[in-house]
Amino acid sequence: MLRMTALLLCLALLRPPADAAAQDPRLAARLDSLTRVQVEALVTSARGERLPTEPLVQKALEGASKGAPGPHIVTAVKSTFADLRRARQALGQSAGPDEIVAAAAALRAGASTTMVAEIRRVAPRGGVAVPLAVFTDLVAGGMAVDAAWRSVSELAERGGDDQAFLDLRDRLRPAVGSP
Amino acid sequence: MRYAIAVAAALVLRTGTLPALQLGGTVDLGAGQAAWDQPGSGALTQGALGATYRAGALFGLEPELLGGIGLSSEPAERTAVEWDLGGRLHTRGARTGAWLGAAVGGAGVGSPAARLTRLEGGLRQAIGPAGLHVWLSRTSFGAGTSGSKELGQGDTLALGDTIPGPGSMSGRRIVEYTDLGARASLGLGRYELGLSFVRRVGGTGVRRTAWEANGVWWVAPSIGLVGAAGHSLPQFGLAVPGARYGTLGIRLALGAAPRGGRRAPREPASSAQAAPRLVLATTHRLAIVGPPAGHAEVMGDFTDWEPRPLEPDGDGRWTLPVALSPGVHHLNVRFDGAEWTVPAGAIAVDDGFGGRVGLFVVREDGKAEGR
Repeated sequence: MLRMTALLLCLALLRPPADAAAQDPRLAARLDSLTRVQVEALVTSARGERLPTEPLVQKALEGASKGAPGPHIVTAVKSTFADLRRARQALGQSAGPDEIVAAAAALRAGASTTMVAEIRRVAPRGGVAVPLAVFTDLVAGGMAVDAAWRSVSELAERGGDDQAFLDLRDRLRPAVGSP
Repeated sequence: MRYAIAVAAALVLRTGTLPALQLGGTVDLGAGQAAWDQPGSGALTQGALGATYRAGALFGLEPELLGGIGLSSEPAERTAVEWDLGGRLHTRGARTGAWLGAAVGGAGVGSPAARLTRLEGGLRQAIGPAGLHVWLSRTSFGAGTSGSKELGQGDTLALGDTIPGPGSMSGRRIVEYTDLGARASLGLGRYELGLSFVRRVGGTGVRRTAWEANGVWWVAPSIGLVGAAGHSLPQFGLAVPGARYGTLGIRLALGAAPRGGRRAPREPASSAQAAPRLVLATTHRLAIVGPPAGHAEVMGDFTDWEPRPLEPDGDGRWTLPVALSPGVHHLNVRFDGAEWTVPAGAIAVDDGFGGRVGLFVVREDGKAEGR
């Protein structure tokens, strides 16, 4: 058993190193070597797919701070990776990092990929980061997902700009219970 | 001395604010050596499959459905089966709080012939990486399809081979017993240690106290080495006697929150008055109103998940001067070193570690979000 463990460790250490950019010093400081190698590999993959990588690093750091075992951290980072992929698939290849992160948060808040894709469809030129963030914020304030989505999508269909979404948020948030 | 082969699987299904089910859990494969309390010979094979399902909070409580089936087999003698299905209500999260539960099932040799009912409850308390769990479980066996409560008979639970000494049990009814247990656990990164004791009241058998020391070493993602040693109580439903044992095995983790794995703290269901509340999130400051406390901390993606002390601002308000970029952020807060929680005003979502993390939005113009 000890040999098998040693072999696993050796295999992990002998893996080709992730590219230098993936070797985040924060990960090196907070994760054990086995976990770090795998998280860095995921970060490298995300970068290869042109997905934002900071959410992956942050998820790993969160796990470390919460005392999660290495395997759980890797699983959680993979899950975050999958969320970002779903968000990008819903938004399309042209989505920017902020939009992807906002869409991933909206999905976690209860939006469906269809909802996210719909926002992209009705707001093809404007960025969707602010509308999606406002949706997430309204849900955080206690508004029902469907109601929040109707409000945001209707404004998007009317061609509202970022300021209009922020104004919408100001109008609705007190009504649903400001924090 | 006999050898035992054990296979166990625990699956976890969860929903929360996520639209889809999440599957997690563990599968344990192991073998060990046992010195039974009752003289016997031959090898014993045991298997168990358990699953739990947790939905979101309901009226401040977290309901959980549990089911399990186990079997034990001795070549040329018998195969015993026990199954149960029940539910639990947790007053708080997975690591701290109280719970009450009930289950029904069946047990017996060949096919479950005796009804099983169980009432149980427990208290959990987490202190940093350590956890303490105390529970009480009352198990009753009733008449099944055979119409007999006479345990120790082949047509019911076939407990004859679980009883240490023919004179002690033959002809007696095992109607019910109560187990009082305690388990202390410690999670240290890739290592998990546990120590548990159980005291049995009622029932039968000379052995009334059980203990176990165990450890898990996560040598690779989703693969842990498990070792355990202890002295078990008779498992009446499976016709397995008590034994001194030592086992080694491999634990395979499925999904994000394996059973038995160390869990991150969950959001407590404290009263609305005492619950912390995120009241301000701007590009340069964060403010939270919380319960009376000596000190408060926050951690999030804006601190690289390093705990940072919040500064008291009077009237239960705590602030942190911090640069926050516009957009979506994640955070947890805690007061007086208690559990990390999600303040109201942030969306509590599964953090992937068995707990909750809060989502909140910082606006582009840095305007205050709350009052």
